[in-house]
Amino acid sequence: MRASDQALPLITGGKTLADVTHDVCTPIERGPTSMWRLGMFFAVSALALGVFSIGYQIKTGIGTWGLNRTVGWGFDITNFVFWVGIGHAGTLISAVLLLFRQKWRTSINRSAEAMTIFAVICAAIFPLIHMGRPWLAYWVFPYPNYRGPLWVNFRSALLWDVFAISTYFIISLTFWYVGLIPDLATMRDRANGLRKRILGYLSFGWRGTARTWSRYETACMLLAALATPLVVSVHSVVSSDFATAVIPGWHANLFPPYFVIGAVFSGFAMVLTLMLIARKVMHFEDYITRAHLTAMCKILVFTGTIVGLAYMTELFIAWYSASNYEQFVFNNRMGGPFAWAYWTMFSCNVISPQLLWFRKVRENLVLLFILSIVINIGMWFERFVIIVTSIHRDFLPSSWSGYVPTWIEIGAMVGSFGLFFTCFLLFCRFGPTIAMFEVKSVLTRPVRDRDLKEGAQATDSSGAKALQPSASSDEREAAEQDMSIAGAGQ
Amino acid sequence: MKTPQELPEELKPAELNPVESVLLPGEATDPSRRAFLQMAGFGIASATLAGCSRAPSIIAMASPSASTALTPGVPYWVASACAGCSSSCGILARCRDGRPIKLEGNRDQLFTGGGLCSTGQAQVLSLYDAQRINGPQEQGESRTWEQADSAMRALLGAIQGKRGSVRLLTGTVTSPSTQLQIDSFLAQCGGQHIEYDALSFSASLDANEATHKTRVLPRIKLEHADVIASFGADFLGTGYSPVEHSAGWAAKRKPDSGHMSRHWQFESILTVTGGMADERHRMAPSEVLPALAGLLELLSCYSKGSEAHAPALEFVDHGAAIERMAQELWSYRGKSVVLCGGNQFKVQLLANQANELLGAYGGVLDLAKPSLQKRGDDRAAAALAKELEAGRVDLLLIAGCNPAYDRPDIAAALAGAGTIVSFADRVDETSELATWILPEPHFLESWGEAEPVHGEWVLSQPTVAPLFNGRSLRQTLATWNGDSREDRELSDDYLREVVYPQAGGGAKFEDFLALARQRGTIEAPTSRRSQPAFDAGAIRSVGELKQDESVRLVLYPKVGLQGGAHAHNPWLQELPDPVSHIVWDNYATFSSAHAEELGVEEGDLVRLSCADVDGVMELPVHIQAGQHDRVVGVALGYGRLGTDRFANLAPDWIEADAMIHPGETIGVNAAPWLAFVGGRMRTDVREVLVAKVDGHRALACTQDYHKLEVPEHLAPKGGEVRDVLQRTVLGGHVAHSAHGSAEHRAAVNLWPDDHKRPGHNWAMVVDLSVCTGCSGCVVSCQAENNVPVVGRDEVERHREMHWLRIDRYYGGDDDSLRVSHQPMMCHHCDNAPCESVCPVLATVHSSEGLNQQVYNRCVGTRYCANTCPYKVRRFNWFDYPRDDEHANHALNPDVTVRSRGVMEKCSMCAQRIQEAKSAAHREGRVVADGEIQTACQQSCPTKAIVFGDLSDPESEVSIAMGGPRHYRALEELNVRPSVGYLTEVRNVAETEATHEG
Repeated sequence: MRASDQALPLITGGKTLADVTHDVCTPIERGPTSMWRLGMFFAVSALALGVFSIGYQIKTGIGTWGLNRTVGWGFDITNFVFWVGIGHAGTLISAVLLLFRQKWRTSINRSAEAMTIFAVICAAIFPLIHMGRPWLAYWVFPYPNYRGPLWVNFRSALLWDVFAISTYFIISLTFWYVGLIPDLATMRDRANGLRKRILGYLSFGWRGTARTWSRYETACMLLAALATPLVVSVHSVVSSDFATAVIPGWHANLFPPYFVIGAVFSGFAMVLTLMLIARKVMHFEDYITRAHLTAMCKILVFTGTIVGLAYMTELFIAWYSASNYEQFVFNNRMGGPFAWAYWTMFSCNVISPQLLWFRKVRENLVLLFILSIVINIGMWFERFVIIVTSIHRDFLPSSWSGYVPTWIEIGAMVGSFGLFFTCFLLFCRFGPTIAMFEVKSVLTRPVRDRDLKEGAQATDSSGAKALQPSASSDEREAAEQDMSIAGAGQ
Repeated sequence: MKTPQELPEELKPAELNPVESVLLPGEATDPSRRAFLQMAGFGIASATLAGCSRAPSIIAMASPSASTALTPGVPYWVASACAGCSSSCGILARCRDGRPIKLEGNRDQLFTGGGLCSTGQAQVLSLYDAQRINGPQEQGESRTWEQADSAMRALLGAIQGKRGSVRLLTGTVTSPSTQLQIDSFLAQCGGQHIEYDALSFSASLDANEATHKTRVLPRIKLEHADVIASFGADFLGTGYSPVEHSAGWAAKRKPDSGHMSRHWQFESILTVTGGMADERHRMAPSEVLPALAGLLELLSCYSKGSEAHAPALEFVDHGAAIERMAQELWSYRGKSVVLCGGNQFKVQLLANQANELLGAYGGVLDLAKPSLQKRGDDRAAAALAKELEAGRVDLLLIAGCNPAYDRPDIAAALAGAGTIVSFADRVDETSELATWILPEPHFLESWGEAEPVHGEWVLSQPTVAPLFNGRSLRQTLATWNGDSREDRELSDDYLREVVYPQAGGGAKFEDFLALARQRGTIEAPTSRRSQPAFDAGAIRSVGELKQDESVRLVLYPKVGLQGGAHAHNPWLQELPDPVSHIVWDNYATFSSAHAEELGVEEGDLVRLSCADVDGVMELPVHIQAGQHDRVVGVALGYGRLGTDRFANLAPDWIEADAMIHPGETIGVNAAPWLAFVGGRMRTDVREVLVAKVDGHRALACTQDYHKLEVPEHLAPKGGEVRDVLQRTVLGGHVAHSAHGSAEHRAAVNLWPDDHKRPGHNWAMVVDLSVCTGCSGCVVSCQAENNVPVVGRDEVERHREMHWLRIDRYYGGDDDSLRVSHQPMMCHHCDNAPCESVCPVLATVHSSEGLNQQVYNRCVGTRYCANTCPYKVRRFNWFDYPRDDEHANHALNPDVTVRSRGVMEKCSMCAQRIQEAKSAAHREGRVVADGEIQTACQQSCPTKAIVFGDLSDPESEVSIAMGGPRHYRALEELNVRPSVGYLTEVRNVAETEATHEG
């Protein structure tokens, strides 16, 4: 990377503290934009398809999926691992980067954390509905019962999943919500009536005193410390679903680190996708700047290269193992009926991120957006390849079979994307997508004098002064008018 | 079903007395016993007894449970005779509450050895077929038997008055007492009895009549045969007594003695038998005659001591192989045999002559105690067709056959019959044309006896109160003759008058009969016909031999469905064909070279036509290994009327493909393409034109990949062979007895062996050398364990539910094909991968070494199935329809019917283990070795499956596991399976072994 990348400002446009509050809160306080409605329309349509597909499948049976006696998992667990992986970037950004005091995280951590929550929700759907009898799903919890010695099987990686995912969800949710409190208080202070009351409850009566802030920061650090091991543990546990089975292609020591790095890789790709959209749609160009994008690109190159290394290691170990079954699985991946999936995965995950070495690519937002999507597709295929190509041809040639998903299965996957984007759009509409108080801490220009001059009256509870919106840019004003016109159409 | 509390007062169980072990006929008047039997049958009766006036008066239980009192819920066994085909194997019907739920081979039956084929196993479902007719029908209108009798008497009187002709057309009549009634009825009305077999052996019978002056088939005692030369004879699969012949064949296929028979097969399409041969060569149907002529020339040269010279072999592709075979046959003369399929008279004559030269008669082929299992006469049937055409038949009685479906010449002429009376139990192709249908009962509902081989009788007795108002042909004919005896009396009187004097041995007849009914069989060891002399004068010249390059259509029966008589049985429709592993369809088979030449691929539709047959057949292509390049094979037995009943059999969901549409049939009827040539109904003489047509119909096949070698482009240099199925050759096996077993390093275990087996340690061994793939075990398992039928679409999606499947692997190329079968069921691994992955402990290990599936606990993650190295777990993808309340009576009450969303798999018949353990516990003894027979093991004609207790070092399974051929599939995974295999050994010289595991 060039040195110039390092020096890029994190926030551009000469933002004042008041600008930050205004820029983040105004879109929430105004009505929905047409862009938002359009997005919501697609998201809810996809969700509706998913609800139908899943409802039909639960009513009729797993047979409505394309699975068979040999391939017992297909799209279901692929989607599960994919969504869990997506979630990882959020935790990494909010927890690990907080601990390492990476300032560039401030603009994106809120959205990334929200993404984590929604991705984990999407992920959790699949293990639930992939059960033959999902109405008995609560049996996977070791709850006290009067069925004698009936208990869960602590040797099963699926059970570890239950604990890993639920822990992950609870910690992520807590961390995210705790992070929201000061911003909710800011929003409360700008609101009236019922909205103020609700936000008042939601922000737990935050007052923003120095003592509160001190304790708050300690709590954040503690939660970050709690969440950090989860970055490693959750996907390691998910990988154990495969690594603890005897199936060649699953049974690999490499899996925990391989899955974790893959998760970070896919998660950052998804963050990049979302940030590029949010930046455009919500006009956050000044908050999600080239500095952020560059930082994410670096992580993508780094993790993508490690993912490539993992693929090579798998191949090497298969060859080195001298096990004919291991060797066959990889030969079959590369040359068998699902070779197209393998090579899609390989080119998307190993070759495409290497383009990010080039500054021109990094700076071309369209290309960056496409690349982030490509990586997401590649990472989805990685899970598909691992799951399906390993089991569709295992030990006994008599049982080899294929796998073709049905529309019901595809519908469930589309539905999970629908759910994800519905949640995300709702969050954009009702919550502060950028952590205002954190961004304020990284503003490059002290603007207090100018703020005072413009005659602010109230004290912003988030610690900064509450300010009137400053029409520092004509461009923004025009945009604001556009938005209000769109809102007026309601 | 009613609970006992709801029963009428006189039927309360409290009033029931335990019955003694054997019920003698004289005691039939005991009212409480009668009450019991009525009650025992009430489950069926309440559902179906509406039109039924009679209940079985009494039955004798078979010996295995003779000491068990008849108690509701407690199973008992009834010995009977299978009438699934004319082989008439002895069976034991396991009954509960007055209805049969499972059929097993009768171990006391001498000629079968105690196995049972897939067709036999499936008969219990046919019994409960709701489409059977309830009582006589005249033009579709219900009538009483009295009405039917008076109408028929009037008709017979009228015909006799005008000196009209009566013809009785049947399949082979296996019951001598029925034959007596037929004879006396026809004597009275001056009619004729014509027998024909849908799967005809007429040429062989005729040849025997010519050469030995006796129109019977020989008993083939393959247990005495050291060299078997078969020209298209599928004696292990679809011959005239496959269970018997499989058992005999297997007796000489045990390599541990160091000696095996040599089995040669020359055939045009791959059969079950051909796949098992030591040497198999493809031979066009037209080559069979020159091949046999050449063989005979060679044999006579050997016998004369002259130089071997066989000009006829010039017309044969594999002349050199035939020469080698001839030498082997000759050097083992007295212990060698030539068998021929194909129903060609000349060929059978030549075969007889060869067998005479080889000294097979009296040794391997027994005409002194011959088989009586096939008696059909194609020429007589053809003559009947001529008579019908000429309108000279006033009354045609048709029983036990379906000529409108499977006999094209008669089918075309049936319109010329005056009146047709059918004895079919349903509306089928023939009875549809009949004025009267007088349904016969199912054999599991009726009394009778059969004499499948001379001097050995199999007795049948009812296992259930008649479900439908049928009457046997025997009793019907007797009634018309003015004989008022009940059906049972007719059979008993025959036994008294004919059998008892030969086999009675001094006991009172009543005692003799009671014992015989209990055993289900009677032997008259001394009853022999004289060994007929060979009449060389019967041999005619073979005529001019000529080269024939035409493409022939070969019609063949499938294991299970046979000639189509069982097309209404969903178990048999869904039984993977042992050869192709395809279900629910027939198809046109081609060799790969032939298909390439025609430019067709698997599933493409082709149109078959023939110059002298009206109509065409449109069938999907199946490319079959080991098939001759100039042959198109099509299975008989499909296209049966009314098989659209299965249109809605499969689960109904958005993407489900309908099996067929209403009005269509399962498959296509190929019987019109049979050809009556040279006085016999031939299956392999039609020249066929093949045209590719647009369209594709994917075939539902349970196996996608058919070799142990992984695809070349995915294998390392030099190829990779999966050694899950180990095979070797006899030479190698004798030299080094563990030859063929891959050398797996002894599993090193870091952990102490914590799998304690304080009591039993159940295990199973399958001898791959004698597994013919006949699939009797598959249906037996299905019947025993309530395995659902899922339909064509689900099988095509690879969701068949069979707990026991037979993996079939091809070795070698089309010209040297070697087929190996590996029955694959749950291996009950000690380190079971499935057990550790289940999050809710729904699959756990028992202290007796069984891997138990707890349906109630299963939430259906399918993780266990994914991680099972043997892929034997079966998932309930849907709630499979169980709407047919009649068919549900065949469910085994000891086995849970699984709901959707749960995993299931082979339990090693846990219910049988439990039953035997309980019995032993009650009697204060230990379970004896061999006391527990799993369903698959019981059914196996070749006794390839051994189950038992490894804790007992003397048990059969322990001994087998200690043997040199024993290996475990995927042993290197250290899952420690409880199922082992014995290496498959073929009697091939070591240099010829091309594909070893």
